[in-house]
Amino acid sequence: MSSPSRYVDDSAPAQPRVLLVDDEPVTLMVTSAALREHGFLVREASGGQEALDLVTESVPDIVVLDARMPGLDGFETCRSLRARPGFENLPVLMLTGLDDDASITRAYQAGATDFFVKSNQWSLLDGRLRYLLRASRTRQELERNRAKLARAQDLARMGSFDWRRQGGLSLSAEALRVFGRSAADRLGMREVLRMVPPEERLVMLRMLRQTLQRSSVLTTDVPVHLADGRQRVIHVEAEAEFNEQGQNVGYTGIVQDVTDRRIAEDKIRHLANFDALTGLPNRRQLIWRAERALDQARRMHHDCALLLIDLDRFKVINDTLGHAAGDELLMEVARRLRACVRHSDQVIEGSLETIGVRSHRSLEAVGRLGGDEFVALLPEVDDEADAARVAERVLVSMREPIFVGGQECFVTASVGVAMYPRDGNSVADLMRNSDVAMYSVKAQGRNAAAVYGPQLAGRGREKLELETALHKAIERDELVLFYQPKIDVRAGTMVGVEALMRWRRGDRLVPPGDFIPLAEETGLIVPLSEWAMNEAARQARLWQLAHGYSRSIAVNLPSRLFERSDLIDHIHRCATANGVPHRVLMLEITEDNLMKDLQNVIPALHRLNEIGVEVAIDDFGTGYSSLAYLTTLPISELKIDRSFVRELGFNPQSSAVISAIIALARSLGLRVIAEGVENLRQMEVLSRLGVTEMQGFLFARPMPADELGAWLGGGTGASSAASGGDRVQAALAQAAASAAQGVRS
Amino acid sequence: MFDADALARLQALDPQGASGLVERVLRTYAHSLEQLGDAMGAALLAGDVVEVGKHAHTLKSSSGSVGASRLAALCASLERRTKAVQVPGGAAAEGPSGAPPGAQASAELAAETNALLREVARARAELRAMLPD
Repeated sequence: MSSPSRYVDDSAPAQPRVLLVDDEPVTLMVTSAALREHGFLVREASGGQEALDLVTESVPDIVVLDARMPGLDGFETCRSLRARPGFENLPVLMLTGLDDDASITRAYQAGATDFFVKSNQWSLLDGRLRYLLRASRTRQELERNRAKLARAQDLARMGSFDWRRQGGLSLSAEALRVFGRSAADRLGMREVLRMVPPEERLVMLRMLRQTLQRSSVLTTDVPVHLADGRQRVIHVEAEAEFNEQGQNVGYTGIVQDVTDRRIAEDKIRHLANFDALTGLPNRRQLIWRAERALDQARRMHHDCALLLIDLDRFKVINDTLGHAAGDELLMEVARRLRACVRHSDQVIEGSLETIGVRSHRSLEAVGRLGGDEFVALLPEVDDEADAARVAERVLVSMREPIFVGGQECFVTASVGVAMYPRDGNSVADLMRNSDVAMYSVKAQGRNAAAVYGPQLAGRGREKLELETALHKAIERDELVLFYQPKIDVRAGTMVGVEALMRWRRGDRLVPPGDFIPLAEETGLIVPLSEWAMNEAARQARLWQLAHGYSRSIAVNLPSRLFERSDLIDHIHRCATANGVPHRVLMLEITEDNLMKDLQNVIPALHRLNEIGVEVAIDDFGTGYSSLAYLTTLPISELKIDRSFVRELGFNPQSSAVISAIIALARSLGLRVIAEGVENLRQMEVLSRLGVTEMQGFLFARPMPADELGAWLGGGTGASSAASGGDRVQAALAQAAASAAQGVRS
Repeated sequence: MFDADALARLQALDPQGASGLVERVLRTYAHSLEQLGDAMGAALLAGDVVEVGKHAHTLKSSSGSVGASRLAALCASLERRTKAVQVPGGAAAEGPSGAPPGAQASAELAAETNALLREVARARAELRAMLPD
């Protein structure tokens, strides 16, 4: 921190310009020389008129003026100088004689800044001049600051005021402007208070009285009606002033027009709480309202409801008609949704108690959470049916087509309802559970409402999203079948393939383990399986044409497919539509599945047998199959569970089980195939045990249809079998080689 | 005629003598002495007390500036006297009884002025001796 004087010195000119005026040539010459010697730039004038002329030419920093001169003397010169605009504050030092008291008085009267008794002590004159220059700069600085302050106050629509217990109110020019008055006007406390609307005035007076009693700080916003009819909000801030005895003698402070700020604040508050597109309360505001509503419901022991409303297939509309149309549609939807509840746009902040007991009703609203998700908050409902009625109203409101982007759109919504306190005690719980309910609607085909129930719990949103996506997977052609060859290792030929489902979800290839259980759980497995059968039939036809393929393609089906009465019809349709015989399809059912629903599955097995479709039992050996049943079932193949294959060579029981299965199969006339064969050792053991058909990474991984072409041979007819056999031989040889290498390393 | 350190102080204002200050000042002073001396004498003859006073004031100032203190003091005294004469009845208070106050004062003023003028003449001679032609 530099001292003020230091600051002033920094800004001082290196060589102050002095205008030296004296009629007497010797003094002029000597004084001039002395001042130059002390670092001043001196211009000389030998009389008053000459001085005035020079001053117009170039303005000096200071004027040194001999008082007594013939013609225009120092006093007259000074007076004329002061009368000129811009020279009111130029420092003027009047030089007087030693015993010339009269001149001193006259010097001040003429407007001189100071006087100096002529002397040959030049350093005294130098000191005096520098002091005057410093004072002048300080004064200029002060003037500038005052001007700046006035300008700043003006810009800030601010002004200062002073109130004395004795003497009342006085307002600065800027403060008067804040109240819409000119600087010349007088404004007393009474007039100021009269600008405040009567109802506010009483509050204001009470506050003023209290502030005064406590000598406390005053900070408040006051609405006023100005004389020109404008309504403004004035911010007042004042502090008490005390005299030496510590008595409060008055207040000093500022007034500021904060109307614009208030408007901006309101706007900001609105932006922060309302959705820009639809004008509905946004997530933040909605959660705030919901929390207040729950507080109130807790206190008054009534129910609340939260409705989560999600538009169905909004993405499709957005994608096909464009975002502008999507936005238009959302606005219309918002308008309709508002009409479904007693929507209130009011932002309520502060305590509800002051507004009244029924005030929670004003919390009721539809809000937009983002995207195509809306929420309806019902702060008080009688029961679930009450909420369901509103949900129904929402669905009905969507029925009319919406005209956007030059065409009619039909929009439906899925609505999930959660009830307080039954379905959750907090806003977060209610949001989550209404979400769960909403997604259950989506899963069941959309355009409906569902109330949350515990049976829906545990179905995480992620899962439900997956489900929704899976639902669309078929129509979007995202499902593909991979094929894994079944190899007869003794003959060195491929005896068939198993089709395995994959889901191309975006860039990702979802393995069956990640979606098949979900598909089974949700029932989506039915359309999925039906698709797989048709796809397999189609592929069989393509291979038949290209490679003369005549083997079967095995498709995995869950037991519930076997229970469906239309299974046979479906297979028939697949076969005829694609021009392949029924036997091209082979069905696999797991032992678990089979045994679980045995009674229901058996009829289908018989019918499949009748039309020539073979059935294999998958994962055989793990379940607790009643061997007795096996003898009566019309099945063709047992697939040894991969767990036994894996443990071959480690666990003696594995080979025992496999031997038993082989014995059983032989006696029943069934084929046996080992799955999950991954190394040569397993292959050798299996061969030794009598298994000839195998499937596994050792030979080939599941692969897309076009890659399997190499296994099927390049051409058609007789050569294909041979070339396919070559591929098998090659695979076996390669497997043997890599195994040998594995041993060496 | 000059104070002991007067010339040294003048010299100090032009240490290198670059502007020939001392000589210029002395010449100017000599010129003033000549002019003011003549003008003062003329004013005295014309009985113009105010004019005498003004010249005394100017000469006082000049003399003070160059450090001719004795001359300056004489000028100051004369200036005071001219003012006293100008004040109506100012001399009456001082004047001895019997004599007309104005005449008495005027006589004294004339005497003092003549004394000053003699001093001025001496100073001019002294300066002439100091300054090269």
